[in-house]
Amino acid sequence: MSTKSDQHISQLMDGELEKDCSRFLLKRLQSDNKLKQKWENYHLLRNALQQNQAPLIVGLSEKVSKQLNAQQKTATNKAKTSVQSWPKALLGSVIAASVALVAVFSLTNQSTEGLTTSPNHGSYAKTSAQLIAPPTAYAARAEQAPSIAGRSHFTPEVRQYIIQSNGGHRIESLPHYYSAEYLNRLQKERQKSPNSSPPTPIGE
Amino acid sequence: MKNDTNMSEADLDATLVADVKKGDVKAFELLVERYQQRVANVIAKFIRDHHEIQDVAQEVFIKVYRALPNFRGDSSFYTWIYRIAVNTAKNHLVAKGRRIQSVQVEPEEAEVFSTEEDNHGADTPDAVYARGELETVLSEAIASLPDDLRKALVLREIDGLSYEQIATAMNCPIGTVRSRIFRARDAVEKSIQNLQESAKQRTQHVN
Repeated sequence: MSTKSDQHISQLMDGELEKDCSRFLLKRLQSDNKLKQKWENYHLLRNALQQNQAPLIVGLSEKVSKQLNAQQKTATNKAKTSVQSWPKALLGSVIAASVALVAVFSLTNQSTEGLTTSPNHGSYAKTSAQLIAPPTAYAARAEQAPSIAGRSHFTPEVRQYIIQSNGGHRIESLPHYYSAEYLNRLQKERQKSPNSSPPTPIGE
Repeated sequence: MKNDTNMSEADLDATLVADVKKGDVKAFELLVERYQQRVANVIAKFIRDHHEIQDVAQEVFIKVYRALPNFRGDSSFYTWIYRIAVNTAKNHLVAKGRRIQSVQVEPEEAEVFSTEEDNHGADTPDAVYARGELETVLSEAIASLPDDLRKALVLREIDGLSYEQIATAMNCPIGTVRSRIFRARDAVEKSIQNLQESAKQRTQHVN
């Protein structure tokens, strides 16, 4: 038996149904299978009348819907797989970061050793007071420049030359190494004869 | 004259598109049913094989669904899917290594009914039989309609006239047009229902 709803579907597909009624019917169409079947069959009649060179298209919406659902399931499964594999990815990142950290530390130590430690000298004073009277250190260090670091065997003349060629700063404020032994000898010489020339540095 | 209290076909499309954008796949099914034949008619201008036409039509609607979030409604929904259909059909031919024929199809032309003989290509025997049976039932049901119902239906579905224009053409009130079109659809729909029922029973017997 024909119902009012069927007639409304007929009007809806022609754009001849009131707006409020159309919205209500559209909601029903999406949940009521019998109404949906009417919509499909009325359109099948329309398709048959409008059919051109193409075959009569039947049930395409179902196929499209199935394909979309299948694609959405695949996408969901992929997303789940990627979520499940995050601990592995995190572990990989941690290992990579650890390796990088170890590499950075080892490189830093190598470069620092090259600048501050000399095979000839065990430890160095780090303040100006220690420079004047190093307590236990073999050598005193004061703001050394990398170019002179570890070159304690340079004579004061050579140091003076290097310092002057690097800007001509005064010797007291200039970066250079003194071996403790050389300093001690220097102090002793100065105490003995203040006007005498400095002693030959160690290693010369 | 246009009745502003009614939901026009453009408004209907816009409402369904908005529902699909909210994630309603059922609304998309309604859109597919509205446009599947017209899309197939456009594809048939480029591709002759019936199987391929249906496959490409399916591909078109998958593309339409994916691209729908970008549809802003600057053109009509049909114009938009028409462009997608043409491009998909051309890409299909390129992928198959076939030459694209220089066919000029306008959206309006694709909507016009043609009485050209259908060019049957390769199709499965079952599909051909089922479609052939359906087409026979449909044409018989349409032929057996009373003249006034059939005329109203043809003016609406083939000539694309509004109810008001049909009322003028048939010299009757608009309510009569509404009733005639519905009665025509309902009568044909009953024939389709009977066919669907018998097909269902046949399937049950086979299984």
